Amino acid sequence: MQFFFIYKALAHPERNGILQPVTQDERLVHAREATKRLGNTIPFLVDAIDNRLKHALGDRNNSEFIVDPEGKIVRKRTWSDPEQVRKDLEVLVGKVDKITKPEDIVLKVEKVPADAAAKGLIPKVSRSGMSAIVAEPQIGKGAVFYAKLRAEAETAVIDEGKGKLYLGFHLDPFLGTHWNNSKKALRFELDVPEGVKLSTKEGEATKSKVESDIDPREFILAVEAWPEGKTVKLTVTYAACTRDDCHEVRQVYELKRQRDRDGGRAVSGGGSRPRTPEEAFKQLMEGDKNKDGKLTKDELAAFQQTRFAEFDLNKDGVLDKDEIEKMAQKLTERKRP
Amino acid sequence: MRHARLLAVLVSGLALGPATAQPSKEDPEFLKKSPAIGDILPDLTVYSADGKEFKTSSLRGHYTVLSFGCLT
Repeated sequence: MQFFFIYKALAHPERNGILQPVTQDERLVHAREATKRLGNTIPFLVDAIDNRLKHALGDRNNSEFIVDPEGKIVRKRTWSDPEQVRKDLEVLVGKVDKITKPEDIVLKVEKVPADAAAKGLIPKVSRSGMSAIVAEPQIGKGAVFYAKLRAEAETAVIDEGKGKLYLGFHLDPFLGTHWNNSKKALRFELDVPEGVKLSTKEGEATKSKVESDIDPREFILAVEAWPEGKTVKLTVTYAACTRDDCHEVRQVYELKRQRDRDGGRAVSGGGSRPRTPEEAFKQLMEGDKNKDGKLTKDELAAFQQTRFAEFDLNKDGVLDKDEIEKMAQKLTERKRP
Repeated sequence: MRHARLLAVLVSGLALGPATAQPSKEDPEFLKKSPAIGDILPDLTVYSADGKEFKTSSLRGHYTVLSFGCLT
């Protein structure tokens, strides 16, 4: 009998500042960090950076499989369910003498260390209704992605090539650097092929007023046209600094008008998941583009659009205040402890 | 007994799962996209946490529980 966790692409990048890894080595560091933080004795198998195991096994965040000694899949489920695994194993392997309950376990959960550099100085950009799009880093030998690009776009960009595009450069906490505000600010340039029209082809980050900080450098661009299949090349230059030293970095990404199936769902606006219905209500209302106090399907975040019908209780095609309140309530309910 | 201990840790590993509310129902899309019950686990090369290549075919010989998760 053997158990493995499969360490996969992040489901919720930016939670606790943790970013989607760019290289295999970075993902290995994540898995080792997970073991350190949790103290789990079940070993990790770490998915390849091309996410081959996730793709081959149905592309879910927390799915579970039982495989028999011949390599045959004998059980599978969308969400891990430890109680059900125990029942399955009793049938497949036999009963155990003593069942350990979750309350018997002392988890070694360490708090995320406080950041030394300042944060929360630059207001975060709203990313309501956006999903991750493919941004392929061009990885040269020895390249270290101190800052990682997160590219997101409104559904309308992905579907029709028109709408808002988010570009956010987030410092990877595992690499321990900060922005030094006495240095040149982060800059990006876009190499735009024929037919693609953007509100700007370059941008320079706002510096915060303190000496150093770790706030993401974020930009919103308007996409006027982006024909399918066209690749936009982004070049970013920045200095990622430690106390002693700064690394001058130039990195290139290829952006595609295509949803990134492995991009996960970033915490909207870089904030945290709403804890109370009031917070959830506020976040939902950020999508109210025409400020009529109601939400149409298009005004919901992409990941919530599939649940629109569930919350449109009177089936009139819009969510009114009462329905949004009920949705906010539902979104903050937790089904498991 | 080792079995019970490991299972207990598997329970603890829930911390790796998503913090969002989890629907109890099976997702039909997942059921369709993932290999069918009775299929052989695809043979792919992944990694152990220390960075060594690991072939999923080497899991044979035991009953194996595989559970997906990540830091966030």
